[in-house]
Amino acid sequence: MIDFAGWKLPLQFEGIRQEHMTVRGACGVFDVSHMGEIEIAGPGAEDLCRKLNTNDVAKLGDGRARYGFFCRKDGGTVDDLITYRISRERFLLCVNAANTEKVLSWIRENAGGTGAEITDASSRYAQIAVQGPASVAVMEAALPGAGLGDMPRFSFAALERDGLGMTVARTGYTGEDGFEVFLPPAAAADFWKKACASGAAPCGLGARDTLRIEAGYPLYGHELSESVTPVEAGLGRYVKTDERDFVGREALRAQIERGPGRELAGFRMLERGVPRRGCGALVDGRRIGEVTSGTMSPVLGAGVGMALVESGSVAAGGEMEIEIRGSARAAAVCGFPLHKT
Amino acid sequence: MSIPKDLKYTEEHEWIRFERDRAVVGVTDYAQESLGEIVYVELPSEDGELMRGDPFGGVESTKAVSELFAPISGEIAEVNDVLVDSPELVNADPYGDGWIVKIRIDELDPDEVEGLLDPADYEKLVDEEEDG
Repeated sequence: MIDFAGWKLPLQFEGIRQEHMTVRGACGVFDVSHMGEIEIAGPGAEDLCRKLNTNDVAKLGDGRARYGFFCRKDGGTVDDLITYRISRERFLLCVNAANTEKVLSWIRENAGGTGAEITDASSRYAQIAVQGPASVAVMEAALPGAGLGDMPRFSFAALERDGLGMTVARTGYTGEDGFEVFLPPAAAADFWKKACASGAAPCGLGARDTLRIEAGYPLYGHELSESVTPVEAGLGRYVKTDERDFVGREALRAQIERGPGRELAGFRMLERGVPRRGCGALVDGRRIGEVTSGTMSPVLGAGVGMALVESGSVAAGGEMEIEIRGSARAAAVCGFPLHKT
Repeated sequence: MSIPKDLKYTEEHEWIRFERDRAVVGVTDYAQESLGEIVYVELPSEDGELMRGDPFGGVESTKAVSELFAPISGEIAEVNDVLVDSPELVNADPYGDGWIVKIRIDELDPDEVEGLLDPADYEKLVDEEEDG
């Protein structure tokens, strides 16, 4: 167990590599109850969400979710989050555990005039993620009769089981098909056991990290931070500057128009070594940036990672070097997901 | 957890076995257990010269990175190339097939040997770390 933003989280059960491969090949279950949940409610809810988010949530139907960012005026990232639209007057935001307090105050600072009600609902929700190609079978066995296999990606549905309400979303952070279940803490242990009994293997935070790195998903504090914008992190497709104003719009629009100075590059090691955060990225011996996340890919058996580098300094299909233990080692620049390149 | 009686140890959780003019070096059972699944061993190039305390490689698991430091001065005589493809041997057999380097010692410096830990001292160290 490790301490993570005040939560005791299991780093691993059977071993990170094994858990990782189980999620790529079958199904794993993760306790991600540490994630923060914020509710935005009232007649002004939609207006507030549109005003805060880089992605436009007005185009979302009820029961649909969308990935996006909260940004500072200068475009720096306050947090990345998934917005769940329950109705026009009710949204659930799933934010990073370590950022919940910061995000809450940031929302309140920027809520002026909308009259929306902002609630930290984190303690009311546990969250269990069921991920992997076999996750439909696991979910249908754990929650029979709900027709969960027909849910489109990024949709969600409310269910009731034994008098307890839960929300099942077809979302995830592993690069595989899967579900994330928001439920009352009192019901979490029971659902966890059901998922395991239905064929999901318990997985910890370690595999969650190696899976998201292979998939090329950002982790706040690594690929994104107050000093890195979503556009620089290669996530400009979640920044919609056209139809409405939102915090950070001008800075982000300017950055999209002139092109960001930095960009995120995925890579796979051609030489031995495990890239880690902070390792230098080089082209012809010149430093062009640094690694934001890296690991030994269980699927490839080679080091993989992401690096924030000068724009235009590398291109997919090309090569760069990663500085590991004082020596520059060759890496292939590749697109995401890294384990399928 | 095993701490063989015929080895010497360091505070960095390495073991040393003296074989004629060679010192065989690896990481201890306690080290491999704390690291978890080892996915990569960074080996030094052969024929390098090491002074005691020099970093010469590393052992990386899915959850941590651990540097290796020369427990004794000498010349690298042999590295365990098998670990390139099978780093998990360090987990499976830390005192046997999971050895990491052999260092050739022309003349053993008594001060350096004095600085190494006996099995009993090493066990005490581990107990303290576990309690801490």
